[in-house]
Amino acid sequence: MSEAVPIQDPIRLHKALDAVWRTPPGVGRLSAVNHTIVGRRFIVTAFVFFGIGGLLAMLIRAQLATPRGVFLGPEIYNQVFTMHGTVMMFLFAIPLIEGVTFYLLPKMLGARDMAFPRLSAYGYWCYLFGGAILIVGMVLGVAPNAGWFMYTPLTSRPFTPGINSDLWLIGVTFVEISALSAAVEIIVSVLKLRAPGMSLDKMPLFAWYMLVTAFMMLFGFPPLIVGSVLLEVERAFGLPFFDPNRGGDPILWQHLFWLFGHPEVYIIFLPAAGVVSTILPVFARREIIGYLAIVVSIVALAFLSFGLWVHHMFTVGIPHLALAFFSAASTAVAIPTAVQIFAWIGTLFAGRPQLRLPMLYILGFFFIFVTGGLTGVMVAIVPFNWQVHDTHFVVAHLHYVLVGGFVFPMLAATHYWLPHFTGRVPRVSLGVAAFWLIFVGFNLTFLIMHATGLLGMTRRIYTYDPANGWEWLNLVSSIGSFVMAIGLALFTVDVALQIRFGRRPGRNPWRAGTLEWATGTPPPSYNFASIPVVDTRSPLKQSTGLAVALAQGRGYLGFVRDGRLETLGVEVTSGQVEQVVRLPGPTYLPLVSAVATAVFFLAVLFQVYVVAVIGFVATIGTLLLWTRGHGDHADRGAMPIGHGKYVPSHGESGSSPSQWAMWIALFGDATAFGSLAFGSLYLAIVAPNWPPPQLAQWNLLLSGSAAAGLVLAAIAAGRSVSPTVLPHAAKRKRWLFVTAGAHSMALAALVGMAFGVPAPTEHAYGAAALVVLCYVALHVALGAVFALYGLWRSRRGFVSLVRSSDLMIGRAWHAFTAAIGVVTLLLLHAMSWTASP
Amino acid sequence: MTSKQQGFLFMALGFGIWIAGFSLLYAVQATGCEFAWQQVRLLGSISSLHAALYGLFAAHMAGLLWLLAHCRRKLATTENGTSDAFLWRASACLTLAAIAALVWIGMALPLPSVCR
Amino acid sequence: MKGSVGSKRLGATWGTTWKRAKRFARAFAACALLTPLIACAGPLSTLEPAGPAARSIAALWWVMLAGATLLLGLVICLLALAFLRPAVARGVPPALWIVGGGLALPALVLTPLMVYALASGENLFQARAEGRTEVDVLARQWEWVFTYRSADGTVRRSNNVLHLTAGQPVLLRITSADVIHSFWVPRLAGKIDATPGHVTMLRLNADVPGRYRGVCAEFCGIAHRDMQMTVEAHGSEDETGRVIDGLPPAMPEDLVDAGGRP
Ligand code: HEM
Ligand SMILES: [Cu+2]
Ligand SMILES: [Cu+2]
Repeated sequence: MSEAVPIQDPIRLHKALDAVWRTPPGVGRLSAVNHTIVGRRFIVTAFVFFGIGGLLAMLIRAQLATPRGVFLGPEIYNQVFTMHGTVMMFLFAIPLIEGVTFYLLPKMLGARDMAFPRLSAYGYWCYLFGGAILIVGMVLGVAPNAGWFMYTPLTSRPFTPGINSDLWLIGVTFVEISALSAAVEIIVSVLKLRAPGMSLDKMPLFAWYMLVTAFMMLFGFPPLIVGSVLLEVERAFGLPFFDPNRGGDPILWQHLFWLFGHPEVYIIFLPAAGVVSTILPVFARREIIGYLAIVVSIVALAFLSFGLWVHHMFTVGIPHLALAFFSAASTAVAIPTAVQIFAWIGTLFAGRPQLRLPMLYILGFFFIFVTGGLTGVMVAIVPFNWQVHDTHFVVAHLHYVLVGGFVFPMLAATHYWLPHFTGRVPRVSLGVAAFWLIFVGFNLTFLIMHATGLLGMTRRIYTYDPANGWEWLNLVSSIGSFVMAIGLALFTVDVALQIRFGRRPGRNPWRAGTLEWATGTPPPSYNFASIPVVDTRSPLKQSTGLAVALAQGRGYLGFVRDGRLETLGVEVTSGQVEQVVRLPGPTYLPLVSAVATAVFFLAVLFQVYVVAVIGFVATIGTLLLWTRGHGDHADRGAMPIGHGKYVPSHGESGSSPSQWAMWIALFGDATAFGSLAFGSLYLAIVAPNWPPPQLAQWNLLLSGSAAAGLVLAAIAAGRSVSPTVLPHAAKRKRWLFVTAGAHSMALAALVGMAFGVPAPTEHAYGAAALVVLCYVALHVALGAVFALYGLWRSRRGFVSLVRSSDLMIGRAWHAFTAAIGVVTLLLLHAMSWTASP
Repeated sequence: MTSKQQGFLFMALGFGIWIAGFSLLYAVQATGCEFAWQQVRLLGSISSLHAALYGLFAAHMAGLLWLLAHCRRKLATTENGTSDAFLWRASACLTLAAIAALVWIGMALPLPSVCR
Repeated sequence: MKGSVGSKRLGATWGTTWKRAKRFARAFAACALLTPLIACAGPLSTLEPAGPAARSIAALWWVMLAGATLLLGLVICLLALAFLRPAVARGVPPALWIVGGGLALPALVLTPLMVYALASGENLFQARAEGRTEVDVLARQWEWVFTYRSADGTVRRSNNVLHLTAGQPVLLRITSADVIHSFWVPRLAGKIDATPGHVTMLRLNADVPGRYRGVCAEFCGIAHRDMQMTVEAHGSEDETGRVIDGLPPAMPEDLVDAGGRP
């Protein structure tokens, strides 16, 4: 163990740090886990997908430019608009957010990386492979063709027999893994990996926005994943969840989809608003007003957005009282949105605003997004919605919100942070011309499209007759979209020129106050040569010499210890230093795991389920391999971090990032389970063609032993981490064995119960019961694996009274499994009860 | 959860109650219609379904009002300018907002078309 | 577009203010939407309503358009001022921006809108239950089948043409035989989905005799855009009766049946 001595010479310090943080060149790049690199990959890939989605949009507009267009036939058109929507929402917007966040967040928080660098890398590969599946499908002419919200029964086997819908379900679910892993990672990073002293109320607003957004992703994506799995199971094995003739209900899909789909819109908007809240004060040349009001309004917005989903279903035939709840909640979001808008306007008035290029895009954002918000209130009004739903009015509205509320801020962000990426600022700029082309083109396309919709043009039609009065409108829209496309092309050229020929201005060209500008530009692999103490919201405004001081190693951790990658972890609210977080360096493991996952998804796609099982086991196996070589064999106590301070390593802190990650991931898991339970009850209560022909006769012995096994496993796992047991290897071993054994018993009982489920392909009752049982059984099986894994870690000496992280994580899993298991058993009995005639 | 982290947790509680109330109102409305509770009359013209909905509304409102009082109490006893004070102030504002949001959706409750 | 409001319950004074507001709104809209390009007329236009439901919604639109234009104008003016004449509002305290602009302004706009929307929605919902005659509508890929039950128990059918009598509300019971479709006759009323396994209701009422076009609004597969229909509003009940009597009898598979639950 080398004693940590701060290195005062910037060059030597840089060399020492870079040696351990650097990503190897050549093929070694595939092992990159560093947030700067992974973030950049996400961003570049997302913009490539934006290009693809944009090309598809051009095809749509070319086809609709004139009545009776013959450019694309109906089949191709259906694939094109479905892929346009899917690419834009899942392969462009969400991944771009992830990329921007990975790149910026640690730098803004004063950390050297995200909390789980390998997880971000794994997420990136999942995104890339999942996106590739969709694009390859499109190139082969079998792209999904039922619209981006994939309504059943159109997407069920009888009406879409081909592989098209499977591609969507599997590709998108694969990509969603990256969204979920990013959600967990972002939450933990914001909560734990901040500069010392940065209490929650000193965080840059962007971090608040991302914290809230990540929570929304955590709760928003599981319903979609559950829905997709159910639909794929229906398509592959004939279990009827959405088939009304066999006790399923197509409306259930709509609930699950929009439970995700509405929050999705805010998941896309909030990070963009975070960008506005970051950039606008820089060009207003003063701090933002209403910090507290903004934090309050984003939290409110996040919750409200989970109470809106039925506004996409106003024409389904739901009673007025229910529609009115959702209509009211939908108009209510205008208020937290208005709070932010007026905070921004107030900031401009209070400052001395400067009209630089990023600011121009933000003005464009104001105009377009406010318009989209106003039409949003209109479509939230039930009777008006009955007229414009599924017309081009809604297409116009959604583009005003998405392009105004996301694309414009992202273009502003590109201009604003490009100097950070490249260290260069433009010599000459085409940016203003590009802006005006994009802005004018956009409004030309979509402003009049409101009228097209009001004149009765429904969406998703590949051609139309001349006599409807839509010809001029459509032609102008198409011309506008090409103007916009030219603008975007010019934008790309401008960016390329700046990357290649820009001049080097030195640090912090915009005179911003947030910490990311304290790193070198382009940023070094370790971000900060030493970690600052932060006691204000704009640290760079407070002390202009900060960047230099950090480079000279005058903050914390201005050295390399044991050749390890280290950053600091803090207490969640106060931001007091709490632990040294030791991070993993470059490794191929994320890529290996992602390949295993790809094997699983492709095997499911092509229905070779033996291979799918192998892929699944390989994924879990390689994920467990990630922990090899991590952790300590002996307690090492507090370590020096500089300035005479000592804190323990994360494994000994009792509050390690991985423990937080487990708890947070379980929230997502609980949401998935909740969606499944909701689906089952929904079918039992409202679906047509109930009661089922045959109810399950649950064997009380089986359900009893399942419950007993589950509870016993949870109790034993609890014992294994109690202070009397933890220090003794033999006692730990005993309780972990009991845990694994209890899980096996529960698993056997659950499998037994599954055999008692009446013909699952004949009625949704059996199908739902089977799926819920499988969900729990999977958790139990993994529980057994985790218990054995804990045993192995304990045997290898990674566990002690203070190094209990591994077992604590297991304990959380076992307790959660017991909880959902018991709820499932109750649910199964309740379903039989509501379903009995 | 240390006492420090409470203020942070409470930021989610107000709207947590709101979303629970909202979901329950919708769930009870749908379930009630399925089992025709709207036809069971209580006290003159109020159907049992409407009564259940009003009951839910009142229960969640009561929870929110208690929460508001609690947050304000905490705020009063926390030193001004600290991060704790910030979190309690945010919690109080969010609870207030949740109350407003519950009243706002409550506007729909008197509508007679419960089940069609 | 004729001027009267769908809901007469709002009282006379409200009625005149309402008309004035509407005239104002329409003038506004005329500039905003570049009228030379857009006449409001069209066979599928929601802005050329021919029945009470569509008319009350069109009125709602004009009011909301006026309100939205004002609010957008306000935001744009503020932004312009912030850059051109920042002095005018430099002294405004932050709390005033947040409370005045963020809370009070939207609350003032949304409250009357919400109350009005709930009232007008409720009227439309109540009206749904009041149709005189009932027609069953079965949607399937890719056509509309209308079935009429006459007093003598015979059931007749017409494909893609719905016969009704002008001025007399008809209650449609709508379902689907395969995927989800959506029944929409823009000049008469809003749309409602046709979902397999569920029956939805819609009241249709045409002011005057004539033909009104309708479409399937929910994407339903390859021939989605060809799934169109016409509503023929006849001058008198007798005439409608005669037309229906001349229709072919319905087949069993044309009848609406939506599984065990009501
Ligand atoms: C680049 C300029 C864009 C143009 C010209 C454009 C054009 C269109 C058009 C004409 C449609 C309607 C297709 C139809 O219903 O037949 C459409 C649908 C859609 N667009 Fe865009 N779009 C653009 C950018 C975007 C962006 C940036 C996003 C999201 C971030 C987006 C998301 C969607 C979605 C979700 C749909 C619905 C797809 C569906 O109906 O399944 N679009 N777009
Ligand atoms: Cu929505
Ligand atoms: Cu159709």
